[in-house]
Amino acid sequence: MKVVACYNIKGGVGKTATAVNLAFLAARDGARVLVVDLDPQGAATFYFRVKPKVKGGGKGLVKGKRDLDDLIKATDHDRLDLIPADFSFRNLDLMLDAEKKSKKRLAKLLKPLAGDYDFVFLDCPPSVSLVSEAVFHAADALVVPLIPTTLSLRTYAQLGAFRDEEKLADLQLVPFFSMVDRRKSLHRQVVDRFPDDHAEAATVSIPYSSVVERMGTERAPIGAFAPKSPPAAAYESLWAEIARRLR
Amino acid sequence: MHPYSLEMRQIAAAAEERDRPAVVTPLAAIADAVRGSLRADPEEASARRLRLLDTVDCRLTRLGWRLEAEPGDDGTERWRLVSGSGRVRAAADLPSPAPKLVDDLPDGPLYRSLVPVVGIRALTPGPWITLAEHRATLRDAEGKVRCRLLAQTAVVDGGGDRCSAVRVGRLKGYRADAERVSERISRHYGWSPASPDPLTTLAENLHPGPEGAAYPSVTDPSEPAGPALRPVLQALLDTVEHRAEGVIADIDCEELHDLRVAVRRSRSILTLLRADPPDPALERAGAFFAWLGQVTGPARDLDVHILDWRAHRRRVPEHAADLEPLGRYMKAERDKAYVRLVRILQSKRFRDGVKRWRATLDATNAPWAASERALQPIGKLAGRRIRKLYRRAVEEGSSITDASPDEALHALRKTMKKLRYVFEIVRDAYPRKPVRAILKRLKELQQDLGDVQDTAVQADALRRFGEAMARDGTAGPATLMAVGALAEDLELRRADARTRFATVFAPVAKPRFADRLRRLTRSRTGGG
Ligand SMILES: Nc1ncnc2c1ncn2[C@@H]1O[C@H](COP(=O)(O)OP(=O)(O)OP(=O)(O)O)[C@@H](O)[C@H]1O
Ligand SMILES: [Mg+2]
Repeated sequence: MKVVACYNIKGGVGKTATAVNLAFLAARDGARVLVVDLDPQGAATFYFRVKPKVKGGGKGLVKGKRDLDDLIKATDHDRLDLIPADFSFRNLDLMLDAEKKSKKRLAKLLKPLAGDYDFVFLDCPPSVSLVSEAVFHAADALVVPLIPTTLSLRTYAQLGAFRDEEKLADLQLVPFFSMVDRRKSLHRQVVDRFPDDHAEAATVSIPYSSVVERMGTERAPIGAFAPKSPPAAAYESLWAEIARRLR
Repeated sequence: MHPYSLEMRQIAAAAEERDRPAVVTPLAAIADAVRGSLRADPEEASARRLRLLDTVDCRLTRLGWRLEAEPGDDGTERWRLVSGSGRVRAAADLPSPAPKLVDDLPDGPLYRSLVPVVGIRALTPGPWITLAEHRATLRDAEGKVRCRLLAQTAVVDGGGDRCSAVRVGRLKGYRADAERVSERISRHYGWSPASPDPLTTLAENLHPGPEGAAYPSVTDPSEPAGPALRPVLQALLDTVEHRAEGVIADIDCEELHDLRVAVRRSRSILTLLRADPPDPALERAGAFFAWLGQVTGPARDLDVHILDWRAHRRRVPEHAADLEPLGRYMKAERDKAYVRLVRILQSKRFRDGVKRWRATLDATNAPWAASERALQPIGKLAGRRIRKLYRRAVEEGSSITDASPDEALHALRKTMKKLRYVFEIVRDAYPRKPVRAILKRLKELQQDLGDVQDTAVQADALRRFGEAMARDGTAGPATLMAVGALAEDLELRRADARTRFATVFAPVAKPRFADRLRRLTRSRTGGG
């Protein structure tokens, strides 16, 4: 079981779109996949049309009191399951803090699922917090959507520093550009230069496209309603690249 | 996500009577029945055409598996091996027509799943089946799928068997929905839950398993030998007839093998019943089976050579290409031998032999069944013969040393075979546990003796084939070398088997074993 976290300190960069679409593609290719919606906003949960309600709330999840299995919901797509978000996930940070060895807690929680799933995708809330620390310790790869601006590059550098501080050498960082508009010269410049000093960068970018926004009205991954669109193709190449690296 | 099934056969039958498609109406009705809180998407219908494959002795179906072959485009067929739980164990796209023998499948999950079950038997396709599927999806107010319904009807072409079922797909986290739907369906329509999927049911109907037990055995040791052995001989003759048909149809090499085993068993029973003066009908049958054993030999030998060649090709893949010409040569020889054999099995001599033996066996108060021997209790008669053959085997085996010629081991093998056959005729009359222990030892010894002889025979044959191929120029030096290597490998195995002989013979020759055998064959039989 490989754990892929879609993560960025910044909000609104395409983390949820990435988690939902990559998970869909992994399951379509035959893998057994679980999406864990760690964001109290519940965007991923919404995309899968699942009601954002976990009996007992985040407290139960973190403490592992209930069998994690009870929280899992099948989505409308074969082999693709979800642990939905709950508003009480807002308290996750606080609770993680109260737990001993809280950093490793999420990794421990996911461990029993290893026989059931080939991939777990974590859709993370935007922030640096204990939740993100726990995510770092649980993940095999951190997939980081970046908007091609100088500011977003700086936050990526912070992320690298944070990983090194935590001594997580095995954690792969996979940055890629999202919402790219190649008509903008700044976008072109940043996208083209970034790989020069970031060998780990994915070679694929996700274009800015209204098809991605339509996920909100269709309430489904792009592959389910517009499989031949340019962003669908871009997500496919991105997943192919990440899957190869995780092998 | 374990599907919950509902028996739909009654519904299907009712629909058939009204001459309407069997499944459409019920599925629409189901969707209606639960429409209260969930709404149904428009029903989707699809149909596929496929065939189910199995061996003639139905090895896959007996295991609860089924093998589907579905024509693909561009001249391929897709094979899927599905286990009892509905899980696809393996699948592969094969060129059409696909090979009959598992051994010719490309290496991969399908080959590896099939080979331990199917072995050397051929896979033959059954009739065409049309599988019609109707799907309905039930969604909640959010548009989220809560439950899926699948109605399947499988129909065998040409107005054959027909089978239907409805499944309620249970989604993780939404079990309650599936249960509610199932419950409503049962209540409304009175269907009983849980039925296998229609293809499994059809597979069971199409491949019911081998006809009767392969080799019947005597169960009452006190019964007179004649009447006790008559049904055994009849069943063996049935086998000879059935297998002859299988050989003629060229199903696979097991047909001839089974035929020959039935011939040898018949012969051993005839020897057991041999009276003084000999009964003419039994003598005639004895001569018939001796002839049949002899004329089927060459074809069987070639089958064995080819089997061994196949096994070797898998073991030494780097020689596979060089060994191809040998395979072609042997295949051609085997085909020639089979043409001759088929002619024999279709000959008047064969048919008359079977007919007369059948008439002899069917006749009431035939003289053979009233001979002094035939009136003895079967347990006593067989027991005495077993002990005699055993004494002979021990005598023959004990005189074998490392310096003995192979012929000494061949003679022992023959005696052992006779012993095994008589033993197996009456084995069900004895307590199970000691029988198993004795048979285990006998089998080990026989296996070893078989290895000694078969490897020698095969190495000889290979040399002959090599020379013949060199003469007609059908094999280049690489092939001749590979053949040489193969023969050498056989020699090594023969030498191995010879070294093992002392170890596998010793336990059989032990007084403890002799004692056990004596006690067993005398128990409840009145002694001998
Ligand atoms: N490639 C794209 N082209 C156009 N719009 C996009 C693209 N990717 C994401 N969006 C839109 O941008 C918004 C933010 O995307 P998303 O929710 O995936 O980001 P996020 O990083 O998960 O946000 P948050 O930090 O709030 O969780 C959404 O409305 C989404 O539809
Ligand atoms: Mg998000």
